[in-house]
Amino acid sequence: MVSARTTCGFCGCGCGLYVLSDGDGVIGVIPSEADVVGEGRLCIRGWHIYQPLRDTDRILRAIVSLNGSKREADYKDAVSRAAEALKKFSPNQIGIIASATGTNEDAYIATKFARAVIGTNNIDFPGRPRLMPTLMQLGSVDEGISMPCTLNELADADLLFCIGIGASTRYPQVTARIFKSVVEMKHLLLIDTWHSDFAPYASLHISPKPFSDAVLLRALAGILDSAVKVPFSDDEVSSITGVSSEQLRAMGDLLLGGKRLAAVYDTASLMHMCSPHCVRELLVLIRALRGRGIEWCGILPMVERCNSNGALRMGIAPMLLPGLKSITDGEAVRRACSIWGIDGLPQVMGMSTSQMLSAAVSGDLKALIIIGDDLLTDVPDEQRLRDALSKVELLIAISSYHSPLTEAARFVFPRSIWGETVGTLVNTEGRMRRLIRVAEPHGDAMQEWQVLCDLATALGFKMSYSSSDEVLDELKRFVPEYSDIELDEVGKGTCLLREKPACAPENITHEEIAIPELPSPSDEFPLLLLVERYYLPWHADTLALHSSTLRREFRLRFTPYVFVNSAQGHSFGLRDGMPALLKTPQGSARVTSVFNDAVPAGIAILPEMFFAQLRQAVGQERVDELTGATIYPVTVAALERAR
Amino acid sequence: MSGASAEIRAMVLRKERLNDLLWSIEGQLAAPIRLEHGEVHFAVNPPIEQILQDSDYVNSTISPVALLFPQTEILFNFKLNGKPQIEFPKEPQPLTIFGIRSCDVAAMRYLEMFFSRKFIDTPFMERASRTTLISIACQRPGSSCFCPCCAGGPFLEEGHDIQLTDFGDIFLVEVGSHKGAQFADGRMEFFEPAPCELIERRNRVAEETLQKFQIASHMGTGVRKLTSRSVSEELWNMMAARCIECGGCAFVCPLCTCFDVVDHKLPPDGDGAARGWRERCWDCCQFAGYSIEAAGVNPRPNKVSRFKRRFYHKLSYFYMEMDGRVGCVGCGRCIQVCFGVVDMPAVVNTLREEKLLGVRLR
Repeated sequence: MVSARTTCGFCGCGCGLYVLSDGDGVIGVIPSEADVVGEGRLCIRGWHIYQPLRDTDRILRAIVSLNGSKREADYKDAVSRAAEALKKFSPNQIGIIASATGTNEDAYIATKFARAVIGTNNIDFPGRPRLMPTLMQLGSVDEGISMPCTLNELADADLLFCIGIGASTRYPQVTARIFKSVVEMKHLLLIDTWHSDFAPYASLHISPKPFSDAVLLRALAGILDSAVKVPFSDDEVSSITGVSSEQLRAMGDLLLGGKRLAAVYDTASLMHMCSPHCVRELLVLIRALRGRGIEWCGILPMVERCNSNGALRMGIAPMLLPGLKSITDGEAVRRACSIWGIDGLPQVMGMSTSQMLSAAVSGDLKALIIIGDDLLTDVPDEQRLRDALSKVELLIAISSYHSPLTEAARFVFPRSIWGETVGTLVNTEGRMRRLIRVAEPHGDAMQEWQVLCDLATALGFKMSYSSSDEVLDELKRFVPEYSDIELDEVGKGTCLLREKPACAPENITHEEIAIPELPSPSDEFPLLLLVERYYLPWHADTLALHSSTLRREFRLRFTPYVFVNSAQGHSFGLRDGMPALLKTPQGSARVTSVFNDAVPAGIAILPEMFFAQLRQAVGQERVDELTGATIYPVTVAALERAR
Repeated sequence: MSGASAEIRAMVLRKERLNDLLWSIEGQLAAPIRLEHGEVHFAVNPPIEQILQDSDYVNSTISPVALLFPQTEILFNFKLNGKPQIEFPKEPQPLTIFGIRSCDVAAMRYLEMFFSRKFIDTPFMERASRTTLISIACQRPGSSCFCPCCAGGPFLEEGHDIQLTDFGDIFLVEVGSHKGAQFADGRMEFFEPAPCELIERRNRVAEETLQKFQIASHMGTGVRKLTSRSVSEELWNMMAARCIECGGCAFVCPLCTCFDVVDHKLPPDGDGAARGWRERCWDCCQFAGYSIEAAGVNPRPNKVSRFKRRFYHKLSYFYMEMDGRVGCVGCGRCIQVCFGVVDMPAVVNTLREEKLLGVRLR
C-alpha cells in the first residue's frame, strides 16, 4: 500500500516522497518524481526515513518521577500532576525550549501556550540564533534588488554564487542543482574554506581566511560600484581575507558575466555568513551587481532542520509572534488577544535558549518545558545541559527517545515521530510542505500540540482542537498573510511564504565592517584551530540514530576528532585515525587525528560537538548579543603523536 | 515447454477482453497505477479500472522486482526461551505482474540467476517460483531509457513469460516460457490465433522503436575501458566527487541485490523471554559502512574506491562473464535519482570519451 505524498522530515530541503507499507507496517519509500523540490531524488536520509518507524526503542508512556523513582503513568494523571507542578511558578520563572522538527501547528500551539497560557516570552528553539543574521537582513531587501530564490530558480540561474555551503551531502537538493548547472557548463563561483567536492567544478574557488566574508564581499562590491565605500586599501583587503587583488577582479569579472545570479549560503556554518554583517554585505554586493546590469538576483539561505523556517515563522523566538511579527507590534498583539481570548500579551523580551540554560543554572529560571531533542545537537554541550537540568526545579520533557533530557525530567510525555505526525512544514525556500500520517503512533505518543493543549486545559485555559487542520485555520486567522493558504496547494508544493520579518532594518546601511581578529600561527603552533558544524545535526540526530542504516553509516564516536589535511598530518608524524595530542597556548588535549583533504593546509577543524570536551585547550566561547548565537574561540594549535 | 503450449506461441488478445483476463487471475495481481501526483507504481491488487494501459506510462519509479525483493522484509520472528524458537513468514501467494516492462523482465531473470547461484535465497526464490510476468513491449521509450544498449529491450526475444505488443484494439500475445504457457493454456478462451502478418508487423515495430531512443550508452566500450584499467585515477576522482553516496542508484537499480540484516528486539513477553524479529533491508555498496569489517577496518575507505567498485561490478568483463550480462538493463532510473549526473550512461560516456561533462579546462 502506498501513502499519500508526504515530506521527508530530516533537513531543510523537505523532499516529497511516498511511504510504502505492507500489512505489518512501513517497509520503504518511493521518491516523488513530480515533486518540485526532490524531483525524484532522495538522499541517504530520505531513503531511510521510514526506518525509525520500525524501531522499537521508544518512549511509549508518560513517565513521572516521584520520590526519586521513575514510573510509567497514566497520561491524564501525568498531565494533571504536571499542571499542578507548573502552577507553583510565576510566568517569568518558566521557559519553553521547542523544536524545529515539529510541524507548524505544533509550533503555533507552543507559541500560544507560552504567551497566552503561561504568560511569558521565554520561548525559543536551539537552532534559532543561527537564522537571525538572515532574518535581520533579508527582510530589508527591496524586491527590485533581490528576490528570495527557490531551488528551481537556482537551477535556472546562469551563475551560481555559493558561500560556505560545505559538504555536498548537507543540502542535497542544492547539490543536485549545482551539479546539473556545472554539467550545463554554467558558472559556479565558490567561496568556501572547505575544498569540498564542488571545488573541482567551480569556475573559481576562493578559500578566504576564516570570518572574512564581510570584508571580501564589501571589497568585491567596491570593485563593481565606485559608490560603495571600501574602508580598506587593496593590501589590507588582501591581508585580512587572504584573497589577492587579481582574484578579486577575477571574481568581479565572473559575476558580471551572468544575467541571472543565484546566491546560496549555509545559515548554520560557523565560519561563513555567520553574522548579520556578512548577509548585509551580500546585499550590498547584489545591489552593485544590479547597478551593473545583472537582470535578476536571488538569495537562497539554507536551513538545517525540516521546520527551522516554520518554527521561526510560528513565533518560536523570544521576540516574535506568529507571522514574523514583533511582540511589540500593536496590531499583532490586538489580534492575538482577540483570537486567543486574553487581555494582553507579555511585553518583556523573553530569554533565548542559551539564556534559559544559564538562568536555569543560576536559579532564575525554575521550570523548563523541553520539546524534542534539538538541544542535544544544536547546543552540543552535554555538561552544561546536565548542569542546567539538574538545577531546574521542574523539568517537563516531551520526547520520543530516552536521553539526558528525559533522564533529568520529572515528567516525560511520549512524542510522536515523523510518519506519525500530521501537519505542515516550511522548507528552506519558504515553501510550505505537507506531512501525512503513514503509521499509527507507538504507545501513547502524540504530537506536542496535543500535549500542550491538555496541559493548558489542566492549567485552566481551555485549548481544544479536533485536528491539526483546525490549528492551521486559527493560524490563518492570526496572520493575514497566511489567510489564503490552502492545504491542496501545500500538498502540490506551490505555496510559498514571503512575509516581511519584523526585525528587518529599513535600509541596507554602509556601516563600518568589523575585521576578524585571528591569532597568528607560528612555528610552535602552525595551525589555526576552527570550530565548525561538521557532523551536526544529522550524525547525532536521535531520529537518524534510530534508523539501522543511518546509525551504521554515521558511526558516530563520542571521542574528540580534529580534521587536518593529510599532508599536514603527515608532517606532524601522524597517520589517519591515530591518537594525537592537540597542543594550544592554553593547554593540551588528547584527540584523534582524522585526515580530510577538504581541509586546507594551515587549518585544523574541530567538529562543534566535541568543543565542550576540549574547552580548556581551545578557550571559552561567548554568546553574540545581537543574534544569540554561540561564537567559538579561534586559537593556534599543533598536533603531535600521543604517547 | 509442454506440447500444448508449443502451438500457442503467438496469439491475439482483444483489448475489450483484457479486464476479464485480469479478473481471471488467481492469487495476487500487481499492475501499474498512477500515484497521487502522477508517478507510476506497481500496486498489488489495485482496482482493475486504475490499471494503466501501455500508452499511459513509460515505467515505474521503483522496479516491480521490488515486489519480490522489497526494501524491507521480515526474515523471521524469534523467541529465546531456553532453545530458540523461529517462526518464518507465511509462504507467498502466487503473483502475476501485469504491465512489467522488458528491462524489468530482464532484471528479474538476472536476479533469479543471482539469488540461486551458490546460495539459495529462499525468500526471493520462493516468490520468484510463484511469479508470472506479463510484460508489455515498449513502443514509446522514455527520455532516459537506453535498454537496447544493454540487451534489456524494448522487445524481448527471450526471458519473458508472456509478452504483449499493443496494436491499438488488440495485443499480440507471445508466450516465452513454461510458466507463460501454463498461464495461457488455462485461459484459451481469451485468445485468438495470430495472423502471420501480425508477427511481421511486430518485428517491424520493434525495429522502428529502436529509432525512438534519445540516449545511448556504449556499454561495450565501457566494459573494455574498465576491464583494461585504462581509466585514469583523476577521472575516477572527478566522477566520485559528484557522488553524494545517497544510495539511490542502487535502490532503483533492478539488478542491485545488496542487503543488510538487522535484529529488532521487542520487550520481553510475560514469561520474560527475549523476542523480536530479524529483517533485511536494501543496502548499497556506495555506503561507507557497507564493507566495514568486524575489526573496524574498511577495505574501501574512501568514496572513490567505493564508486569504482560499483562500476567494476556493473561493467567489468570478469562479472560479465560470470553473470552472463552487463550489470545494467538500461531502465534509466539511475538518471532520475542521481544528484551528481554520474549515472550509468554518464559514467560509460565518460569512460568512452575520457572526459567528464562539467569539467572546465583551466
